[in-house]
Parts: sequence; structure tokens; C-alpha cells
Amino acid sequence: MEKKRGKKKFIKDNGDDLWWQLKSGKVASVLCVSVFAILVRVLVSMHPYSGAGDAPKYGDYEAQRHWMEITLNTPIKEWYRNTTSNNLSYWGLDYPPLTAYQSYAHSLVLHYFHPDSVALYASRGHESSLGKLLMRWTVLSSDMFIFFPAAIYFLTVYYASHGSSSRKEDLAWHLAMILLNPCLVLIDHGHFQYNCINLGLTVGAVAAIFSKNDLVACVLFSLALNHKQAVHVKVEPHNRALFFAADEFIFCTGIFCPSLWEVPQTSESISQGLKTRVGGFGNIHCYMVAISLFSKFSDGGKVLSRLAPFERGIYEDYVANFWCTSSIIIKWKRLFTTQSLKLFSLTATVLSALPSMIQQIRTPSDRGFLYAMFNSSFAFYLFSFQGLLAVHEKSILLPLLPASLLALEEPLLFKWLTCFALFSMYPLLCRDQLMLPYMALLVLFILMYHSPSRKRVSSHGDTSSGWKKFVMPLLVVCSLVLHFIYLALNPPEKYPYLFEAMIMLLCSSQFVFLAAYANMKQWKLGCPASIENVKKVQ
Amino acid sequence: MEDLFWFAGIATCIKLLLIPSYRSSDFEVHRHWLALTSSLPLSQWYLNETSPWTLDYPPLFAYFQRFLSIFAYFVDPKIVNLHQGLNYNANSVIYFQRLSVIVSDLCLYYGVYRLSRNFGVWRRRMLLVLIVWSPALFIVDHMHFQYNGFLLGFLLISLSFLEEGRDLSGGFVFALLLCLKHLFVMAAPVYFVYLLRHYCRGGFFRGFGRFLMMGVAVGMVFVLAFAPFLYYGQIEQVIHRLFPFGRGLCHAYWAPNFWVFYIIIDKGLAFMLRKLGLNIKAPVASFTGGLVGDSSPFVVLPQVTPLITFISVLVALSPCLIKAWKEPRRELITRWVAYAYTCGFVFGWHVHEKASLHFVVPLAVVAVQSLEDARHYFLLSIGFTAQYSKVAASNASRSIDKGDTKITTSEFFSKTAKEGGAVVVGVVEMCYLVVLLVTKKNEYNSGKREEKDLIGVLLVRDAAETASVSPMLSPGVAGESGERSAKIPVSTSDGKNQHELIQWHTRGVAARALHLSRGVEKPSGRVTYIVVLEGLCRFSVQELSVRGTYYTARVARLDMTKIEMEHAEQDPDLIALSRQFKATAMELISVLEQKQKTVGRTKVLLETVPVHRLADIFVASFEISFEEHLSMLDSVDLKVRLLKATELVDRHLQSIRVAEKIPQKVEGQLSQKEFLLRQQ
Repeated sequence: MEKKRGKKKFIKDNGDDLWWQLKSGKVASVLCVSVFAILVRVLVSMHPYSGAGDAPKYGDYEAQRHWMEITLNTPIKEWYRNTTSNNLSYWGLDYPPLTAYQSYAHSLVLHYFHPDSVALYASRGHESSLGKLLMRWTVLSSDMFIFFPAAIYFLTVYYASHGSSSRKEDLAWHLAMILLNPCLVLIDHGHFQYNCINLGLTVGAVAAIFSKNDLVACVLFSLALNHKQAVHVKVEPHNRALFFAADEFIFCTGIFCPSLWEVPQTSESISQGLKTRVGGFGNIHCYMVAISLFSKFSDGGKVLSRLAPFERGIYEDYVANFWCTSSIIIKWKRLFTTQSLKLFSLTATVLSALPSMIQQIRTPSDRGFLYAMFNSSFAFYLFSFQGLLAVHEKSILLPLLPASLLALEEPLLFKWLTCFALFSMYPLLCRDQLMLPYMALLVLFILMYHSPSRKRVSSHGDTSSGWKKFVMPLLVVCSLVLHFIYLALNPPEKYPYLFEAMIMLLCSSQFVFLAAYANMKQWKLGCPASIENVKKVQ
Repeated sequence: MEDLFWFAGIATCIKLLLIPSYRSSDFEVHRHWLALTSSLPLSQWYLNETSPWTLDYPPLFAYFQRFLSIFAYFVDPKIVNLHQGLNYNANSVIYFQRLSVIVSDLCLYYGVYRLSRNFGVWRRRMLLVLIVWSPALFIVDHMHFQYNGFLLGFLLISLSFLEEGRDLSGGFVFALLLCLKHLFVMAAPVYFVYLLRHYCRGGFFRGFGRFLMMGVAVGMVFVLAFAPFLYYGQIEQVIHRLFPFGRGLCHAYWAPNFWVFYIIIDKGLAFMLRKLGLNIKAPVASFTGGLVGDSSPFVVLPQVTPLITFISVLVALSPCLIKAWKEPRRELITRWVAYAYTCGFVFGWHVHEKASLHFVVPLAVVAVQSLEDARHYFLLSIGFTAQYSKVAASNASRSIDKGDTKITTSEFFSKTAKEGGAVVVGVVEMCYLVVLLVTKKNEYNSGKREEKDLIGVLLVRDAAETASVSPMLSPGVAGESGERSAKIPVSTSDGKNQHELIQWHTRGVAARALHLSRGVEKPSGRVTYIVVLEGLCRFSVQELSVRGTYYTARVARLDMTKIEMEHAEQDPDLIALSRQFKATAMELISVLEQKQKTVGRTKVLLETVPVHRLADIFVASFEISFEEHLSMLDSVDLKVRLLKATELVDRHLQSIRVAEKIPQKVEGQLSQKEFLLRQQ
């Protein structure tokens, strides 16, 4: 619905451009790419899901199914409570309310076609081909109805602002890059999660910001926040969108503040300021509505505590973030208490996200916003506390999203990040027996990236220095060798996680490098603009 | 080549993802053959009946299976175990067999590569999409499980040899194909007639000698394949296995062919006659038994015997055979072969629905050519063609891709993938046509609706009158170049009241708008548009009349048709001229290349584009006077055109050289001055 509203507005604003996009056959190419993306998703979903046949706890698939079972069969006030029918220690609901509602909606579908798969108690560990088919369809449909339109909406807005000089090939290529991102496809349709919903809502919010629909943006964004832990920080696939939350806020104030400083000369800037304020309220309000619904039935604190358990420690498993990597040298867990670690990670996160936010406050711009999104989400990925912000390998999807939105401007960064993000998920996907789609999608992605129609345009763009020419192939070879080693060799008994650690080391080094690069880029981006601003003031 | 890698790479990724998908009993059939050929001696291959899936492919395919079984043994010995391996469905066997199909598709890629290597970028990509991304092949080979890609590869290789005029190799490869899968025999009459008339010509003795040579080549293949069985005296058994006439007229899954109507009429008649009180045996037998031994009698209509089907196939083929006899032209052979397979499909005995692949794939090759036919015109480029080909190809490829994915998705998800599905293939074929039509229609429709957007046909205005207006790029001219004899409406950008003043040049170019972008808006409010056109063909105006706001003209085509062009290309004068032109053009390019490095693309053009079109491209990009452009347009004769173009290119070259010399001279003077200064 939000989408439609956005579109309508857009037509009003840029009717001429839209007409031109229709004319030039862009619709056809967008449609083709989308249908191809759906085909790939369908093919991936034939493969096993996480924890298939792995009793007694199974995996994320069982978690999602269990939530459907709980939301269907228990009254709303018991969803987040430990009751006789809702045993929270068995995949208790630990996502924000929107996820619960979504589970409820999907459970109705499942109940209609295959009641056994969502029966209370009896369905624990339920596995059947029909059940799998239905579950896969729920992901596929949410992807198609939320992520796809959002991505297309984003591109329409983005390319309208670029003027008619943009080529149809670029548009199609960019769409393919966003939709055929192997990480997202593998996690959602292979491993089984609903990241497409919150990522889709986030993309929609970004698009709305670009088309100056701040209110819509706020609504979409808070919905995204509500789908995966936001302020209710928590475990597991923990909320991704929170990473952007701080950022969004900064952006809003960034737009708002200058209009105050410049002493509103035009009514436009006043209304802009007002809008932002309203938007801000809208944001908080939405949030409140979601929470208050629960506080009516149960106490909101219950929800919050479900969503924000700290017992997990600073890191878990092997995630390619700062704490985990440095723990090879410094044993954080042994040296410090959880309290002080919490403080450390908070400071580190804020510090690392600060530069990009400051830049956005000083010179807010559309492109800068994407960079800031990228930088701050990376900051959270690298430095935040495992328990607090539940970082794990799947969280890399978050920095990946703004990177994919920037794909046209930073193709190399995007490609590099995607490859290593995928590589960082490699152990997880191996466990899920998704090796085959892993390889196929990686190759598919690289082929799509180097599509023949694209090549001639960008070839002169990537003038790589000698240093780059030498290091990049070396890293590629390293990662290929690691792929092979991980599959073929058994780790020494003394260090059972040796290979995971090596993969993580390689990936996190790349991530740190990319984050630094993007930060620099963002500041460079801001420089000329800020000079102009100064001149204007003078 | 690069294109091929890309398309094949994408296809391979999809195929890999398809590995765990549904597989039919053909999977077990092929696994059984692996076991059969590896664990039994040659003499037992066509006798063994351990499983109901007896070997019913010709010997070469059995050898191929034997070859694969060597690797299968290393992967998992149980795969090739005759008894323990029955219905074996571990991961190892699934991966091994699926991968063997994917690898054997290399054959198909090679065939496509051979066929398309002389094509332009646009046509090549089109062909790649149609064959390499063929949803029919995906479904039948990589879900249902068969080796059609591998076999069709042989057919395409053979056709490419024939199209190149290398008849002996073509015949040899076709013989190989026949020994791999005998169902390809439907095209044998066409091959026979064509080779007889095309290869064995030039007098009785020479012809006879060539006939013998072909006979030896083809015979050798057959001997190689069948000799062992001849030796064991099993030839009858082999033939019996290959042509199981005991099986019914129709396959388990009916192929949508002529006999379906026949059966339906028979059933209907039987039903009606019984209602009328005649004592007729109720139709009991089903026509859908798939296994050997089922056959069913017709109740009312006369029985259909294999002989009748054979004759009807031949009758259906006869027009094509007569044509091939009278005029064996190598560019038509693909078309004829596709036609032959269609006939075989429609009238054959016990046709599998999958047999439709045999004509769908060669038809794709024809479709790429007939698309051009449908356009009626060659690509004659006045604007920059390079950009066009890219746009069109990506557009077309994506449209088709859409069709592809839709079918695959729906088919795949319904999980009833049954046996490949003749209906599906029918839809596939339709889809190609529809998509092609839609792509074309869109172009034309958009032209009709918004004259701003599309420039169908341009008439060049008389030089004297409007020399100031750029003739090639007058916006707002809409038209249609769809039909061969189409009337071509033309309008002008200037107001109606100026119509009388304009004198139309009598020759023009049919062109299509490829790209329209909004240029700068002038302060006066007028907006300039930049239009990229692709010229299609020259024409002359025969009659011009005003109807409504547009001009309508009757035009006649001036450029040569494809066939005439081929004749002309053998003219020695022309060859000499074109060589000269190419040499000059090459020189110009290399001179330009030193200055700016972006000329590389033009160099590619020089190698791929036909010379007459090259001349146009070169002249169009020069900044010369309008009159010169016009005279170039008027020179319909190839030789004249080439002469003019060579002269122009040469002139351009000279002027560049002169321009280069001037600074050199200045430098020389400078150094002299320096010298003097130093002396002082």
C-alpha cells in the first residue's frame, strides 16, 4: 500500500520521466530480470533447508514453522510468554511483533492447505514435502510482494533523479545485481529466513527518502524495525534494521537542521522541516503502537527482555567481525567482564559510525546517505556486541544492501564485498548442505556482473593500479584454496575450528578494508559540496 | 566466442541448480544402460532383459554409454552393477548422471558456435538465447533426463558443415548422428536428395566419384557401429529393438500429431454408430500403453500400419524434396531439415512428444534468419549500428528469457513434469514467436501512438530547399516499415502551411528509431531531441500524396536482395574494389587510432560488417557536405558506391596527414630558432 502511494506521488512529480521510461522498453527489461530472479529463487528453494532432518532442534526452518504454530494456536498475549502451550526454550519467539504478525498470517495459509504442519505440539519437527513447498512459497511470495517492488521502486526513483541519460542496460544490470544477490537468495530461500521482508521495507524507506516522501519513509522504516529487533535488541538473526536506525535519524536531523540554520527563506524549507518532524513523530508513534499492543496484553518489558538478552557474550561462533577476529590474540571473554565489554563495544561502534554520521549531518545528500548507511551498518557489524546486536554471519546482509544499491557507482566494491560476504557464510551453508547452489549462484553472480552489454561501458572505469592487480588475484586464490581445504581436509584435533578461523580472518580483513575505503569515499564525496555551501553562505 | 561463454555459463548455473529436481524413468533407463554396457560383453547388449528398460538406441550411443561407465565405476561401482544397481538413487549416481548431461552439452555449444560464428552480434546472441537457453532442452535434458543436447549438437554441427559447403563432413557427421539415435532418420531423405544434387554434380564421372566417396564415408560409420553385431549375427535383433513396430501408433504420452485426430474420429464414429444400433465392438484398447507389445486396433476406420505412416511422411516431405532436387541451395538446408522433422513428427509411427525438439532447435536457426526476412531488409546502417545491435540483442534476449523462465517455473513447480511434455514444447515454440512478435509490435505500436518517439521512414528533403535542416535527423517523422509493400506515411516537423514548399528528394531510407533522448531545452522553450536511427534499406518514391496530416508515399525498394547480393559478391571487379576500400579504411583507422584509443570498435566493424554497409557507415560519419551525403545515398549501384566511398575515405586520410604535418613543420622551425638563439 505504501508502495502505491509512493508511486502515485512519483507520477505526479516526474510524469515526464516515467513516460520516457515506459517508452524506452525499460519496463520489459525490468520484468525480464525480475522473472529470471524468481526462477533462480525457485530453483534454490528445491535444495535442503537449515537443519533438515536434524532432530531434535532442527534449524531456522523449524524456528519459523514453530512460530507459525504458536501464533496460530495461542492467544496474542501468550506469544512472548512462557506458558504451558508455549515453551520458550524451544525456539521461543524472539523477533519483534511484526514478525509475529507475519508468522500468524503465514500460519493461516499453512493451516488452510496442510493443517498437520502447524498443529500445536504434534507438529514439532514436522517435515514433509508439502510442508516444505508451502513454507518455501511463503518466503517466495513475501520476496515477490515486498522486496521486488521495493527494489523496482528504488530504481525508478534513483534513475529519475539521474535524468534520462541513464541507459536501459544499466537499469537492468543494477536490478539484477540487487535481486540476484547470492547471499540474500541463499539465506532466504536456501537456509530459510524472511530477511527479504525487512530488507525490502528498508529499501522502500530509502526510496521514499529519495523521492522526498519522508513520512512514508518513516513508516516503512519503522515497519522494518519492527520486523527484526530494533530497539528490542536481541539474539539470533537479530534485527538488522537497527543498524540503519541511528543513521536514518541522523539523516532526518541533517535535513532538518540546515533548514533551521539558513533561516527558512522559502516556505518549502519550512514545510520540509515540519515534514521531518512529523516523520520523526510518525516513526516513534508507529513503534509505540506496536509495542503498546503488547503492553495491553502483557507487559512491554516482557517483550523487550525477550528481544534483548545479553547472556550470549560478545561473540559466538566465528563471525568475521572485530571482536571475534581479535580474540585470536586477545581473549576478550577471559580478560573482561561482560559489563565492561558491553561498554567497549558500544564505544567502538559509536566511534566507528560517527564519522559518516557527522558527514551526513553536515552535508546531507542522497548518495551520501547510501554511503552512510553502508558505513554505519558495517560499523555495527564489525564492532557491536554479540548479545546486544546479535551479530552473526547472516548480518552481513545488512551492509550488503546499501552496497548493492550503490552497485552502479561502486561496482568493484560491491563485487568484492559480495564475494567475501558469501565466503563468510560458507561454513554455515556447508552445514546446510547448500554447497551446490552456493557455487552455482556465485558463478551466476559473477557472470551477471560481467554481462556483455555492461562490459563496454565500465571497462574504462576500472583502471586498476599495479598494486591492486597483484593483491586481488592473490586474495581470490587464497579464498579458493580455503574453499577447497575446508571441504577436503579435516582440521587437526587440537584446533577443531582452525579453518573457520582462517576464513573469518580473511573475510574480516577485507571487510575492514572495504569499510575504511567507503568511509574515505564518503568524506571525499562531501568535500566539494561543503565548499559550495560555504561559498553560498558567504 | 565470449558471448557463447557467457550464455553457456548462465545456462550451466541453472542446470546445476536443477540437479535435485524431478527425474523421470529415463534416468533409470540411462543408468541401467551404463550398467549393461559395462558389465556385459558386446554380444549380450541387445539381448539382455534384466530390466524392462532394454537397450533401444543404436550402437554408437551404446558405445558412448560404455565410455561414460568407465568414469561411473570410479565414482561409485554400484552405479554400474547390473543387479544391485537397479533403481539405485544415491546422490552419487544423481550427480554423476546429471553432470554427464551437462558436460555432454558442450557438443551443443560447439554446434551453435559453428553455426553462429559468421553472424553479427545481434543474430548470434539471438541464436544463443534460442538454443543455449532453450527451456525445452532444460526441461527434457536436465529435469526429465535425456541426452538431447548432445545429439542435437551433432545435428547442428552437420548443418553448419553443409551451410559452409563442406558436404562430405556434413554427411559424415549426420551418419554419426544416425548411429547415435536412429529417430533422426526422418531427415535422411532430405539429406540424401540434397547431397546427391549438391555434392555429386559436375558431370557423370565426377559426380559418380563423389557419390562413391560420400558412400564410403557414410558407410564407414555404419560399418563401425554395426559390424560387431553383424559379426554376432544379431543384426535382426538390433533392428527389432531399434524399430519396435509392435508398439502402438502413439506413444504413452501422445505426441500432438495427425494421428490424434484420426483416433478421435475413430472413437467418435464408433460411439455414434453404436448409438445408432450397429453392432460394433466397443473400443476397449487404450492407445496409451508405453511399453513394447501394446498395439490397439481401430474400430471403424482402416488400420494404420507402419507402412502407411511411412508413405504419408514421404508424401508430406515431397514438396521439399522436389525443391531440393531442383535447386539444392545450401542456405536452405536448415529450413528443409527442420521441415522434415516436422513431417516426421506429424505423421510418424509411435512418435515421442520429445521428438518435437528435433525441429524446434533447427527452427531456431531458421527463425534468426527469417526474422530478418520478416524485416524484409538488410541492415543498412547510416547511423551508428554498433549501439543498435547491443540494444536490440539485450532487449530480445531478455524478452525471450522471460518466456523461458515462465515456462520453466510453471512447469517445474507443478512437479508434474511428466515426460518433457509435447504441449510444453509447443508452448515454447509459440512463445518464441509471440515474444518476437511482441518485441516487434511494441516497436511499431509505440511509433504509431507517439510520433515524437519513433522515426519509421525518412524522406530526405531536396538539398536546395532545406539544406540548413539536417536531413537525417528531422524529428517528428513517423512511419511504418512493417510490410513489404507498405505505404509509408511521412510527416514533417514544420507546420502544415509549409508543406507545399517542400520538395521531396526522390530517394530515401527506411529507418527505425533506436534511441531517443531528450537533449537540451533552449531558452525559447523548444526542446531538441537526439535520435539514433538504424537505416534499413534504400527506397525510391514513386508516388506522394497528402492524406490528413501526414504524407503517404508508395515506395519501391532499391537495394539488392540477399540472393542478388550473394551473386554480386562473386564479381571480381567488386571484390577488387572492396579490397581497396578496406585497405584505405584500415589505414584511416590506424591513423585515427594513434590519436584516440576508442577506434577499436570500428576496427571490429571492419571485419564483420559487409562491405557495402561499411561504405555507408564510413561516409555517414564524415563531416562532408549535404550534397555529398545525398549523392552517396543516390548511388544504388554497389560499385559506384564503393568508388565514392573509397575516394571520400582517402580524402579524409589525406587531410589528416596534412594536418599532422603542419605541427611537425612548426616544431622544426622552432628548433631552428632555438639553434639560432643559442648561437647568439
